[in-house]
Amino acid sequence: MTVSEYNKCVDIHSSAIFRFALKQMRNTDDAKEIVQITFEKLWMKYQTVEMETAKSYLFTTAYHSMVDAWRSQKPTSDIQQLSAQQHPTSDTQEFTGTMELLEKAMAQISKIQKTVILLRDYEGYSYAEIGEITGLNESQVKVNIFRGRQALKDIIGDINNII
Amino acid sequence: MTNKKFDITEDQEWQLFELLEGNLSLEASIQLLREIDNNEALKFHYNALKLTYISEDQKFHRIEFTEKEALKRKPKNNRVAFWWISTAAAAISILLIWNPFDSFITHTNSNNTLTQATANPNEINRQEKRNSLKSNPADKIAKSTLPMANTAGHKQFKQNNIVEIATTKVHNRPNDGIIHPLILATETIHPKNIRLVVSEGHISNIDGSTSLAQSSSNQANQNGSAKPEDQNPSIDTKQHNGNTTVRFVNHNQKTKAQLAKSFYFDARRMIENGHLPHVKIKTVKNEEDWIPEFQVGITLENNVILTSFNPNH
Repeated sequence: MTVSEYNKCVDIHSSAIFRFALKQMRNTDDAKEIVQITFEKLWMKYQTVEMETAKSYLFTTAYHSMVDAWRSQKPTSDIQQLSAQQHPTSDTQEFTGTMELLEKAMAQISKIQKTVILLRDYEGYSYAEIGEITGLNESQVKVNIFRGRQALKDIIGDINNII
Repeated sequence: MTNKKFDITEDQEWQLFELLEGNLSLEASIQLLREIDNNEALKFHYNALKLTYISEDQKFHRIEFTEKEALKRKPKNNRVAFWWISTAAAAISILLIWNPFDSFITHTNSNNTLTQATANPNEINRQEKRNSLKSNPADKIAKSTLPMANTAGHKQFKQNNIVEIATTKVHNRPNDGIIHPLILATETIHPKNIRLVVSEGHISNIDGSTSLAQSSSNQANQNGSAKPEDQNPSIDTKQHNGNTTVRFVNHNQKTKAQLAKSFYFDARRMIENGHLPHVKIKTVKNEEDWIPEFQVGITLENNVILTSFNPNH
C-alpha cells in the first residue's frame, strides 16, 4: 500500500481497533497504546501489506500486541482488573441493564474466548478470519466461541435477574 | 445454569448455538424453533444463550479514536530525498575515485610530474598517439602500427611512476576534451553488452580481464570491426564525436560485486588516463511515495558514458 492508503487505513480502522482494544484492555490509555503499536507495526510493513488485507492485519497485530501486554502485566494487575470490573472506565460506564451485565460477565471469561466473541460479534468475522487473527483453526475458534458463550450464560446466572 | 428444572444435554446446547450462529439450514432452523416452542427447557436456554450475543450498541460504536492525526504519515518529499541521496552518492563516488593518498603524492610531487612524465618514453608515445588519434580515431585504430602499450608495460608504468597517476596531468594534459580512451563498462541496464576500451590502438575490456593486442586491431582493420578472440559475440563499432565504441554481446552477466569493482576501477583508470570524470545520477524508477531508484554514472567530458552502477540492484 502507499502512504495515502496507509493514512486511509488510519481513518477507517483506527476507531474499530481502539474499541476492540478498549473492550479487551478495559483501560483507555492501554487501548490507545495498543492502537499506536498496531499502526506503528503497519507502518513498518506498509509496503508489503495490501489494502485489502489491512483490516485483518491490524486486528491480528492488535490482538498479538494485547497478548504481549497481558503477558508483561505485573501480578498486581489482577487487583487492577477486579477494580476495573467494579469501576469501569468512563467509556463503558454508560452501559446499563443487560449490556452492563454482559460487560461484567465478559471480564470473567478467558481472554481467548473474549477475543473470539468480540471479533465475531463486533466485527462480524467468519471462523476462518478469526482463526487467521488468533492463530487458531476453525474448529478451535468455534469451540472457543461456544465455550465462551456457555460461560457467559452461566455467569449471567439466573435469568430472572435479567428479565 | 444451575436450574435443574431446565437442564438440557450438551448436544442440545450445541444445537441452540448452531441455530443462533446461523450455521443451520432453513429447514433445520424451522424444525428446531418448533421444538423450542414446545420445550420449556430449550426455550429457557435459548433465551439465555441469546443474551450472550453482543447486540449492536450504538453508544459503543460511537466511540471514536481521537488521535488519528498523530498516527498519519506524510509522504516523503521525493525531491529532497533524491537530492540528498544523490549528493551522498556523488560524494561516495568521488571518494572512491579520488584516493586521497594518491592525490597527496601527486600534489607534493607536482613539480616533478611534468619532468618525469616528459622524460618517460612511454608517455611520449602515449601523447604522440593521442595527437594522432585526434585527427581520426577510427583510422588510427585500424591503422594502428604504433608500438602498443602492452598490458604488462602499462601496469609497470603505473606501479613505478606514482606521479603518472596524474591528478596533475588532469589539469595540464594537452588536447583537453578531445581524446578519450573510451572506457565503457558493462552495466545492469545493458546486461548483454560489454563495451570495450579503445585507446591508442589498444582494445581492452573495462575490467582488465580482456586485453586485445594488435591482432584485434588488425582484425578491426580488415573487417571494420573489432572482435575479441576468446569470445564469439556480435560486433558493433560506432563512431560518435570522434570516439569509437566497440561493443560485443557477452553472455556472462556481471555480478553486483563485479559491477561495483568495475565501477571503481573504471573511474580510476579514467583519471589515470587524464580525463575529468563527471558523476551523474539519474532516476531509474520513481515510486509515488518512496525514494526513487537511482543510478550513478561516470561520464567523460563529452558525456560519453564511462560506466554506471545501480546500487539498488
